[in-house]
Amino acid sequence: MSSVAVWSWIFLIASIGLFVALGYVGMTRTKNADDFAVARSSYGPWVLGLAVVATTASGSTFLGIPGLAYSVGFSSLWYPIVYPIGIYMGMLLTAKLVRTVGDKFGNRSIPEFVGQRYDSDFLRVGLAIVSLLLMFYITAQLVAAATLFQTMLGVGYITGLLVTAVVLLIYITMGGSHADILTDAIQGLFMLALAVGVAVLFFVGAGVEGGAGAVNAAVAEKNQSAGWGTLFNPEDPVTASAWLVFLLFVAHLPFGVLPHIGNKFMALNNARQMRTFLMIVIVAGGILPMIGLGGILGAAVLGQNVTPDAVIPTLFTELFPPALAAFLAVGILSAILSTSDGLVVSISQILANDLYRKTFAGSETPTEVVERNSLWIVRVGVFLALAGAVAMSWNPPEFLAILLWIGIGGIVSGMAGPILIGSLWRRANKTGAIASFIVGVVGYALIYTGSLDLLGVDGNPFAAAGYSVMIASAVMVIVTLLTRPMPEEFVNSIFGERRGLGRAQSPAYSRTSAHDPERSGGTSS
Amino acid sequence: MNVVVWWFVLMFAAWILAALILWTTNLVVPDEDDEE
Repeated sequence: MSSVAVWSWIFLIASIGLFVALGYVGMTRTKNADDFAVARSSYGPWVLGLAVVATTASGSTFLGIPGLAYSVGFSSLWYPIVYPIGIYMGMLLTAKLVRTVGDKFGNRSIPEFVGQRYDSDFLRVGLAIVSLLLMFYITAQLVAAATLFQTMLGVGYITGLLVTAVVLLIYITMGGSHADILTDAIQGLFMLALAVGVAVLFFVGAGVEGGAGAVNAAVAEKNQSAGWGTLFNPEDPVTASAWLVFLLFVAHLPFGVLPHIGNKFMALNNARQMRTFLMIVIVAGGILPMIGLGGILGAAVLGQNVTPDAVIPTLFTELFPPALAAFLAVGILSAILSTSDGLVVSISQILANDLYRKTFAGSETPTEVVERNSLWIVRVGVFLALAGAVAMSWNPPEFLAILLWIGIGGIVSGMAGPILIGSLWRRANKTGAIASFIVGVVGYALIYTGSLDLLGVDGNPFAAAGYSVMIASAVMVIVTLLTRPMPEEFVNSIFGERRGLGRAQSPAYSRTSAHDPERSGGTSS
Repeated sequence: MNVVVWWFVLMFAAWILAALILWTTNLVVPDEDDEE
């Protein structure tokens, strides 16, 4: 066994032990189904900020972006430049309403929030069902983890797959959202350390003499269009033009309220800390994608015979002593686990909360029975989500990347109108939201599969999502303007009274008599 | 301007814009009226 593999084993066993221990801490803080679902009002801005950033950057980000940079060159960096700006600007627009409505009505998931915002069971159940497509996202993470175990530790693919799934199963079943957030914060620190380290390596030009300029010269010498003089490379379908980069930005605007990310707004211990929290998220979230610079450095140092997704591991093994190179495995595993655990919690919430508690439980079932059953269902849901993802990862589907983006693209397109527009615009109504949701999901499928031929979509899921986000947002506005507003009392119950109107809140939608009176649950209210 | 310079320009611009939005507007912090 190589010395890198030995050190990787040591680091991985130590970090897995730490994650399981944090799962136990999470378990001691989990007293009811609401704790498991959202860890309501439990964490400060630093812990939660790191957790959100870690959740947003997946294993695919940490391996795929450097891989793209290695293959295409500097122009591919538009992706890591633009996507965090899109995601975190989108969060600025939506966080307040998700948090205030979540607090007021005890929402435990993003689908539940959307159903609440528009008083619509259709939107809650529809978004919950579409969100099940996130299973492909978990599958992609497990495949990445199994491949990591295979390449860095020399164990079989299936062994790596099962180890990853069992670790996730243990700490999430124990501590739910508490375990998710605590482990994500630590994982976020590992990831930040790795990203900053890689950026420094790029700027000092490790492996080539002369800093970033020498890296560029080495890359451009091998392939002129890969150098930093080429702003847009027509050969790269994702960043071939400024228009496609703009679509990339638009496609990511709703990403920050995907169910496994947006639910974390409710875990902030005090809504007035939202400013600090979001600033930490925006700064750290902007730094993390700098891991992409490692792909460029790899192209300069390693030559052209490396598998793109393996460029960072190969670079580390080339540049560093084994112990330091092995730390990379921890960083990448952190990126994979921090996304997977949030996804597993969200999928289990779809079953326990959006479908059972809010849809099938019925108003005559006593609250304590519903709560007890929810906690039971959510833990079974964790097992089912992981078992399903393991089954799909066993023989990864040939078109996993396509299935993954059908899932994410469909969800962001469906959420764009109801959440992005609906968070900013009081007038946005139920009919507009339903129309926008349907047009977003169906439109994305049609555009991505080529049934609707739009400029630059061929082979580019981000462009397809960018177009469908814009179309769905337009549908939201147009249909809303053509149909009746929602009752003013209801809108006030969601957004609060307009300042200066001074009207009393209608008891019909007040905090204590919301649509699901006794079920709002929650430990904070 | 090369892509790396664009990266830093856009990233710092986004940070400054975010700070301005966060500390000069009520976009993300609940209104006083909502807090009870």
